[in-house]
Amino acid sequence: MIAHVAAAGERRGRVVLWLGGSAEASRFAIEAAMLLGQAFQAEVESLYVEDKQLFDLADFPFARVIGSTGEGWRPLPQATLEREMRFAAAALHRQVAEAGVVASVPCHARVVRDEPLRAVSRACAENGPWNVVIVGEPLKPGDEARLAELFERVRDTTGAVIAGPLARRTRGSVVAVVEEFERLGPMLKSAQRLATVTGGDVKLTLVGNRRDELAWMEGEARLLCADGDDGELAGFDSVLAANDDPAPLAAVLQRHKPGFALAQYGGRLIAPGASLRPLTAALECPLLLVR
Amino acid sequence: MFFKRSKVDKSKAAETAAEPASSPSEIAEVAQAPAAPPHAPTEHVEPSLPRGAHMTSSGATDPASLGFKTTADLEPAHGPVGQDKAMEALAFGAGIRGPGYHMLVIGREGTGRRTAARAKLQEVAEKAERPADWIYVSSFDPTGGFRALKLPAGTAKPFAEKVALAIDQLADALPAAFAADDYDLKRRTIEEEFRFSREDALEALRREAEGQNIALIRTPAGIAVAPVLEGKVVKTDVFNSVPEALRREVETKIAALEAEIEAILAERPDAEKERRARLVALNEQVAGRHVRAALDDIKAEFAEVAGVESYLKAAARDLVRNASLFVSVAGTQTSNVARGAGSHPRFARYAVHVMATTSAAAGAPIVQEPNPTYANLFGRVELGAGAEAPSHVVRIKPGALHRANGGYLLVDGNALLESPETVEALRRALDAEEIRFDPPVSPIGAVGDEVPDLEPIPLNVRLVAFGSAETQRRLAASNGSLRRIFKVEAVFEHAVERTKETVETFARIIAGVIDKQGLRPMDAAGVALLIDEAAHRAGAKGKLSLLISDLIDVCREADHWANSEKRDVVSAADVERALHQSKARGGRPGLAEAS
Repeated sequence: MIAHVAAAGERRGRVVLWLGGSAEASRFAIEAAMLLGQAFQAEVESLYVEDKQLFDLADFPFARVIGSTGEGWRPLPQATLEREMRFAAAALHRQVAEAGVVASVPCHARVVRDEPLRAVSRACAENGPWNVVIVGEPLKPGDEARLAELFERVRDTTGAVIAGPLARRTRGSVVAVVEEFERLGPMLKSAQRLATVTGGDVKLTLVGNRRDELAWMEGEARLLCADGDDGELAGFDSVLAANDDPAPLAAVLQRHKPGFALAQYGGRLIAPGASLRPLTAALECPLLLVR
Repeated sequence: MFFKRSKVDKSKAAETAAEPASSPSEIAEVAQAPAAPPHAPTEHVEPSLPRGAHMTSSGATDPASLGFKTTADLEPAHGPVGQDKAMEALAFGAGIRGPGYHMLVIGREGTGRRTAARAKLQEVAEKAERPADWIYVSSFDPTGGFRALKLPAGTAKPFAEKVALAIDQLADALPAAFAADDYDLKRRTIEEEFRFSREDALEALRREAEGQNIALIRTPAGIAVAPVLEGKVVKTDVFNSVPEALRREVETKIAALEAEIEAILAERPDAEKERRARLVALNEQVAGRHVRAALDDIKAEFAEVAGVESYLKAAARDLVRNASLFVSVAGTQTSNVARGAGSHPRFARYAVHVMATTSAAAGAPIVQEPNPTYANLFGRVELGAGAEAPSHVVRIKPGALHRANGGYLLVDGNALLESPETVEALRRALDAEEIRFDPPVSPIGAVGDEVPDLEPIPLNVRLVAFGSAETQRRLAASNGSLRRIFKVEAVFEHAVERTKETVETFARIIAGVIDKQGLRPMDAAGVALLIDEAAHRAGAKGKLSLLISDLIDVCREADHWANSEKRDVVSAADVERALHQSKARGGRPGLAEAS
């Protein structure tokens, strides 16, 4: 993961911005891509995936589509689908390119017609393991299966960034929610790098089952910070989480109002297969989920 | 004339005095004769002067008989001389209660009728109760009209200032409240809840469809429904290879799902309505708190004033409903947003237009309107329009009727008669006892019939018109109805009988002029010359002219000459010189009003 890049002293990685799931793309996801690009001197690949299955569907005489505003069904011939895809891809790529110019981050654009996750997986595999996938489409409460599938199928990635439906910030402090001690160092370093571009400090949230475990983690974290020169640590939060309830961690994200957040995929905040509703209701910034 | 007479030596003057008095027609002729140059020969025939009180045998006023050395010895008088009937009429008109006793003050210019009338009105006005203040405020209804509110005397301006301050405070507070995280989160939660409810329904449908090997797929244009097998959309050749009955079954299921999707999306208008209602409720909750805080003090302070509470309630409702105006204005301005933001055209509807107010010390107002046009009497409405806001009232300027309401309005009769429309409007206003804004021409900035509807303001004013006998005739001829409303007539004579009493009063009036103008005292000889001039100007035997305005200029100029020679007292020579200079300039001194 990019945290590994930071920990290993690597200077480069790649950000794959996955677009095309629908016409909707979160501008906060695009901004998150640029921040990662700036923080890790990475380039951004804007990948628009034309879902191949849609073209299979368009072959059927009964293929129809209805707009999200419910204005009625209309036929979905291949030609129409292709045209709509082309225009949507062009518009999104232009948006990304403009953001890249502003952030001085090199951006590349690509359109592929494939099954979406396979396309993302291939794009990551082409350039080695130091990828982060940014999900362009805003996360929905029912997207847990999709997210799980992303982590399962896209292997050459260190993590994925999601932006929720309530996203509103990409500036300010960086909150790192650390649930396992072995992840502390890499996540802390990643957070410190991100904080240099979000314009805030780092707030470390340590999560443990026992008080002594938490105290020990905090002590170690302080030692790590004292050794490093990557930035200041503004604060610690210790959350005693005796069960898998994500609510206390979601509350931390709400309380600190960060510009960026880091958490572990598969931890308490996002357990595989669990509903994303508590998170989507609290998340106001991009969240980097590390493996 | 004084100048010429002064050149006559005493013996010759005595001879002249011994001659029989000239006929009135001769006197008139002399009075109108052009002034002789200062160096004219003294053998010029002098007009005979009537003999009377304080006169010498030569017909001139005897300074010694006046009984004072300088005007400093006299009790200054400011009232007119010998205008008892006129003053009696003025006292009656000023003091009588009840409507309709408007006054017509008739007399020549310079007789001091305005000063006298004003002084008499002032006596009564000072004792009268201060009238209430009046303001116009928006009615906040679709007509865009204005309500008239009556406020206790002297409170209109503070009320207007407090409302303006409240709007400025809201221009600060509302953008901050709507930018606060708390508000934003609540708003977005409502938005997302609305969105999630639809997503949840679609998600449930998606799961239901999955069990039937049908998938809901998102496309760039929306949602599509496709037959799937093991999570993949079935290819057409595979689909076509299955029995027709099965294909029809799938197509029927797809059609049913499409209907359900359409039903979910079709609920949008209702859901949208609910979403908007909840957002409106949230906005009202946030804005309402600040609006109440801004207006509560005003409400408490003016709780006893009828109409204020309902106005503030309507204003609060409107402010809450239009809170976004404040936010959008703040968004378009720089950091100094709030300072004077209340004066932004978008907030014009919250302006309080003060139409009438009185100062703390005043009784009933006395307002003089020298140019009684419609706009000057009934006020003016200025409309503005622009990209920032639709056509709106920028300012409602009060007229003389508003300012004089509860007191006296002084106008020049001749000037009033210049505009028949204004005369008629004034008559209607006095008859109906209300100021109704119905201008003969559209207000500034009005397009078409965009004249705002202003609620009439009750009118209680005593009209005092000044004019001459000619004005009286013109008034009767042009507007009989208006002529009839002048139930009181005060006629000022231009000359009075020369008696001991009128001469002495005249001398005190000169003392009054000197006192009022801050001039040097004048000696008795100087005063005597002025009395002679007044007698001469009266144009008839035994009369004194009352054209007091002439006196002021002569006194001022005589004072100037005394000053130039560094004397503390104005002498007869100074008076003489002043008269001479005046005549050398082309006639009598200016006929400025002695007011």
